[in-house]
Amino acid sequence: MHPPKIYQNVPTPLKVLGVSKSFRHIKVLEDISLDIGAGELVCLLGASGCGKTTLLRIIAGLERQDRGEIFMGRENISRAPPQARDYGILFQSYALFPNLTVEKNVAYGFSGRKFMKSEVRARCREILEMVGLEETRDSYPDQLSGGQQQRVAMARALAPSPTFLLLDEPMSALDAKVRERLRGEIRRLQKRLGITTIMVTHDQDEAMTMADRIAVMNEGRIEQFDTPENIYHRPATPFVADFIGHANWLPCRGIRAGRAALANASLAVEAPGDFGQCTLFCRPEDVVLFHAPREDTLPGRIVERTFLGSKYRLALSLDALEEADDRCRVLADVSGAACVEPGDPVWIHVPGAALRIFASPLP
Amino acid sequence: MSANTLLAGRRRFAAVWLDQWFIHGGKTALFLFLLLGLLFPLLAMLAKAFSGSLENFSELISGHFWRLLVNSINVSSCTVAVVIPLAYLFAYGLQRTRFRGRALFRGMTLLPLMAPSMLSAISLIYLFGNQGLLRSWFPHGIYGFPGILIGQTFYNFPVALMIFVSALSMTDGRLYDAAISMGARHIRIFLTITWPQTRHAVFAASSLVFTQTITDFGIPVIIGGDYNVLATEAYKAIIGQQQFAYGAMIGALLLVPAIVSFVIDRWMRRLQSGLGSRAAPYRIERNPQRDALYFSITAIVSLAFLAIMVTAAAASFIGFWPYDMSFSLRHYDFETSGGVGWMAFRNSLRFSLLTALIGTPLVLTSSYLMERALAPHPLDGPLKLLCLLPMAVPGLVMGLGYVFFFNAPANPLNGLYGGMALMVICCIVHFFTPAQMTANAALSRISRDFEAASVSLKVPLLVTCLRVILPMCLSTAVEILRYLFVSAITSVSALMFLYSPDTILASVAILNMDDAGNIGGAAALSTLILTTSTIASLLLKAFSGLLLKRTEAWRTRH
Repeated sequence: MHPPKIYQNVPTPLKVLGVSKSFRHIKVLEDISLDIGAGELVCLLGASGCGKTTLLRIIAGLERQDRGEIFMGRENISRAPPQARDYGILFQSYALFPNLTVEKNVAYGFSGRKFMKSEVRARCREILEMVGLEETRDSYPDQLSGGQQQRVAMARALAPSPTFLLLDEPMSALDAKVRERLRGEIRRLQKRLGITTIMVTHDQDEAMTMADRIAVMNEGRIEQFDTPENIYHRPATPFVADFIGHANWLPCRGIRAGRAALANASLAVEAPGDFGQCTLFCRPEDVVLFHAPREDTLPGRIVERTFLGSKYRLALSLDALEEADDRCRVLADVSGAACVEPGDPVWIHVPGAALRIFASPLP
Repeated sequence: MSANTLLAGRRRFAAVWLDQWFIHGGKTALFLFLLLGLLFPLLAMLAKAFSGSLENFSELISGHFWRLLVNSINVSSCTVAVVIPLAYLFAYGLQRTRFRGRALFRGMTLLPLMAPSMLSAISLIYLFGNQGLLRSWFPHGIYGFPGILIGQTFYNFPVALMIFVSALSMTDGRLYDAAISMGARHIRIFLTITWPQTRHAVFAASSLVFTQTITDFGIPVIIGGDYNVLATEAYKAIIGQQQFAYGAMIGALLLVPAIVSFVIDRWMRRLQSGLGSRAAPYRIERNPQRDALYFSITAIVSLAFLAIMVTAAAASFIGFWPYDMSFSLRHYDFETSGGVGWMAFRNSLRFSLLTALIGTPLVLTSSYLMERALAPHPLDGPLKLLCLLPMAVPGLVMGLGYVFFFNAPANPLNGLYGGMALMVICCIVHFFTPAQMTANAALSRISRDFEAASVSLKVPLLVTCLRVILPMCLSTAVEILRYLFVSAITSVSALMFLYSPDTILASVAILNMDDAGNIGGAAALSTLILTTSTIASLLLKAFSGLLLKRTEAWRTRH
């Protein structure tokens, strides 16, 4: 009998069904369900302590859920030990073995298995080439830069062709520039291999640029599981709207016949019907500024101007909201700032389509 | 494809099975080991102590017993009162001042750890005893309280020193910078920063010295004279008079200070806040006056240590102290003690090598299982307690427990009694906690993700343990090996009760020779042990350095 070939992975869906977990009496995860398509990259996004890493560790089998099931393809792996789940994982710390060379690290997944040496070698070469590190194969991990270490860890996780890939804050230990480059690299590699991937991150830019779909998590629950575009433009909950990007919140006394009543003005909105007390939400870039009053504009004044490189962010106080608290300041992004100075009067317009209505008060 | 996945599945199963076996099997084995080697003997001793008849209790309240108790407490508290300030001062000099030769001075004071406790007592007899060179220094004689106190001071000093050195080395320089910038004076800085950081160490060292002194019988047996203490009484009760229940009762009593201080120490540890990862190193400024002062203190203390160590060694090469001071090797013939000397020394070497070579893998494995196993295990709680317990059980008590448990005719393990194997087990258990703590410290510094990465790659934990974890803490392994070897070769308290004529150890033979009046032989044998453990320590240190050099390739950052 010939030694077995290193088999190629087949894109496989992953399903999480009603997973809950408590540590002592603190609920870390509550009834989490996720349906991840074959070959998809899903980001678990949330602030620290929202349970995203715990969920990843449960999927990896490194923690045991109190309730709920996990399916890999059609196989139920809910109770399987981590060794019996076919995944590769990339840790925040990389967990590269410092006393083994890059090549031995990458070949580690084959130790103790009866593969032909030449085949293991060839596989290591191939995968190191794929991440662009074939010259460093005789170096030790600590002799490499952070970005190189990260790619070695990636190569090690991918070498045995796992069915799915788990990334635990893979880029948080890197410089901003390297991080940006590696985002693209990881994404290309993932697409090329067609490997189902779950990535945990607290960096929303990372999630936005890399993910097919994002699961925004908060206090052990999934607030929204959707594409990056929908998460940004059509947040399902006030939490998601506030957590992702920047948000403007306008307290609204009620909506009747397509017009929202603010404290002492009104705005046109696209609403399916009439509402009572609610909150309006829009992104800073949706706010349009005018220097003279027009139809359907609200008068206001510039309070603060912040330079952001490609644009300016203005903080405005609206006459319509003057009684309300400081958080009702409206942010507006504009590209040129020649004619806007703090203190200048402005008139703002928000397209009705850009406004979203949340029934709850300010988040 | 299907064949491949099938095979992959089988592989996975093999890895899972091996890991389960390693972790569950390992923890169960460790639990049984500590149950048999520690808990059962301890319970056997306690059962014996409380099964005692009224006769024993009447013996307890007799005047004789009270005198022993008062003597023991007296000499132990005095030892604490002398050792603790002296060791603190010495450690402060080493860690917080700048003068040349600090490493050398520290090395000199470590020498007592390289020999059985009896060595300092033997030296004291040569110096201040009835035939001593300097007996005029002690007009009322060295035997009794002063001899025990001085002997215990030498023997306990290095342990207290090590505790203080490590406590003083763990500090945050930023606190001192802040205090100085606010204009605090030396005394105030000491009282507000240094003292709060080290008072736990002072308590730990005090209780350790107290426990060690009250349970040690090597020094009182040699230099105690008529000044009887509890430890010697227990020794005599078991070895001489076969009064087992009485001996057990004293053993149980000697367990009290150890257990009490152990519990308080655990409680204090919880209050102690750790050092932040952003702590800055403490910079020592030059201060000629202060440095000169501490130089003289440390130099005097170190020289005293060297003198004590050298006296016994030198005396062993002298024909007939103090009458014939010519060089002679006659004490190394051991002919007056029936030639037992060399056999005991060979036994000791074999015993210490076995203890070190079996103990080190055992300690490392148990530490690995306790520190780095991925999933919680029902035995974790009891195991944690059992791993800490040896620290609270004095050697004398341990030896008594072994007598009552393994020497019981009903025990199927009875055959082990008197053999080398049981002595090795006893010694490993006795020194288990400090060795395991060293291993734990090294293992906890290694990222926990290694095991998770290993299981994700379907590599058995055992493979990762041997290929990655062990190479990463090899120097710790060598240090544990050294600690176990030196502790084993110098240990006497527990083994006193376990040897048979064939398995007599050098440290035990020293006591027997001294008992027979052959102090020259005792000194010679002590010197042999001192030399052996010093050479072994130096060799292992050198080996450790060599290892570090060989692994430099992956330790240095570019």
